[in-house]
Amino acid sequence: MSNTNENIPNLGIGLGLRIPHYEDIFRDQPDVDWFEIISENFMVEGGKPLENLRRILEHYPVVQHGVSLAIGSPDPINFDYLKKLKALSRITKTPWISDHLCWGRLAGANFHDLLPLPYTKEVINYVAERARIVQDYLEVPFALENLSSYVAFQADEMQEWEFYSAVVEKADVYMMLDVNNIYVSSRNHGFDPMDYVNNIPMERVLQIHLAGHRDLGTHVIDTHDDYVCDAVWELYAEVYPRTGGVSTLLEWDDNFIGFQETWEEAKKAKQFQKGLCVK
Amino acid sequence: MSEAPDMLKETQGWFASIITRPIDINSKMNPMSPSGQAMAEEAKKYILPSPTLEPHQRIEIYNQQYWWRLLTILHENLPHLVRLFGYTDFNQTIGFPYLCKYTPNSWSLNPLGNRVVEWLEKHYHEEDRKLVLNVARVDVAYNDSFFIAEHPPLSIDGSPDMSQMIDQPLTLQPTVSLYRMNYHLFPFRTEMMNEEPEYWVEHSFPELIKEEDVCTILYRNKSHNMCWEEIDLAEHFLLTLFQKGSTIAEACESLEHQNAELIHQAEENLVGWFQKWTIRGWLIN
Repeated sequence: MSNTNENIPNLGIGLGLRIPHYEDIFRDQPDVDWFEIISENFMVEGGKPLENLRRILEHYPVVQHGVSLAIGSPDPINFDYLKKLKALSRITKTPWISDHLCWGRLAGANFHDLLPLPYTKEVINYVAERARIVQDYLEVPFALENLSSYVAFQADEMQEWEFYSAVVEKADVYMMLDVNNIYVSSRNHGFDPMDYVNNIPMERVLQIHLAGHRDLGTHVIDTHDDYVCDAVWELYAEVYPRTGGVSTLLEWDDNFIGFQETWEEAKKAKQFQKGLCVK
Repeated sequence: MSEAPDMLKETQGWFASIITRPIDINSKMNPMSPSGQAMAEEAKKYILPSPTLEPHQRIEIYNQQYWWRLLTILHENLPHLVRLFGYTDFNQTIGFPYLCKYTPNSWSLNPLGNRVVEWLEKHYHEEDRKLVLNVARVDVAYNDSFFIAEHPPLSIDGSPDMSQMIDQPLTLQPTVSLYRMNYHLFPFRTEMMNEEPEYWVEHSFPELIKEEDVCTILYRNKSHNMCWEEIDLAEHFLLTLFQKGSTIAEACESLEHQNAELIHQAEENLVGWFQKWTIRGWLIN
């Protein structure tokens, strides 16, 4: 039996937990449904980050989202990293863990970027095997996130959504669907975002990301430093009902605005969830 | 576990070789590939054009992102060092060559700047070398101490026998570091940190007050914030011994061989110091 989002809780609307907002959160305990943390920021031995996490966990559900797994890298899976990730999940009690469908490590070097993979059948088999191992090791549902990408390869044999769907289905893992990334990539590669939305297994989506981007005319960069644009909200309105209703999160990582304003932006998602019987 | 497909390895090897080469001062990619071919030609072998960008323009985005991200983290990890140079000079003098020499090898960005002292010792020989090295050491200590685990502190409450304690080797929390310099670096640092790096490109630095044997302790307090305090030479002397694992008895014996002023300082203050060290949790056994 394959994994679907049927038994995954819908946590509501959440925010990416970022340092500039700590003071507001600790002082006011706002009614945010949940927070997403960047796992690596808390995979430390001690000090302030873990103290802050402890305080957040007293009041909110926390979901772990990673940036350093680099699942499509040619290097062996880094089990030291996974061990720390799993240890953190025991503290956060995260209902799932996500990272990106990308590579970022080679011959021991870490590039600290989410680098795109060539979309080929060989790569599907390679990445899916590793994703399955990661999920088995972590012992919580594991989801891969689609990237914003700026290149396409000569070696590509298929469209991104075909590749993404094939990897998660073959690995029997979940999708962490970034709607802004669909939009950004559609602009950068010249495809119709609805082709993406119409051709992925929505029952595997366990969480949605929303964010702002920067339109440079010739290309669009996924900057997470602005409000969600209308086109992305419209896409979200298409995606959300098809998932059956899943946890939605706003990422805001640079050019920060006030906490309350960020939370108001995230709550706009409710306007686009109308007409859906939430699970 | 399966091996990565050859095509994937080849593509990733090429991609990595391009994005890790330094961008120029205007953030442009090197127009020649590592193999000596024009990037505009070589990129076509691996990358498709978009409706608006050529293949080499597309990979340039990743080349820029790689450097902007790593340099930004280095600026955050070495905030005082960046203020000594300003962003542009820092990047050209230290950032690019350092990151070329020490390509990040950890999944974490926290240790990104940890080898900068080692790099500066080998490659930085300007007149202000000593100051630059000290500033780098302190920046690295701030960053390191922020994330590491503390050990249970020495507790004198309920200690069955103080006479046993004097023969126990003591050491300091790994979050504590000690400095002895000929100037007041920490007030200088504090003042510079109040302004952005670019401010100091246009303005004179604050005065770095010189004085013999300025001793400072940098530590993480119970709220996990980094703090510093200038301390007496005798206190520095004793804490340095404990950092190396001395017992109280050994420390007292070493003290006896020091000059009269140091001995006097210690005699006057030792009880108070010991209370402070234990209350702040600096000592461990």
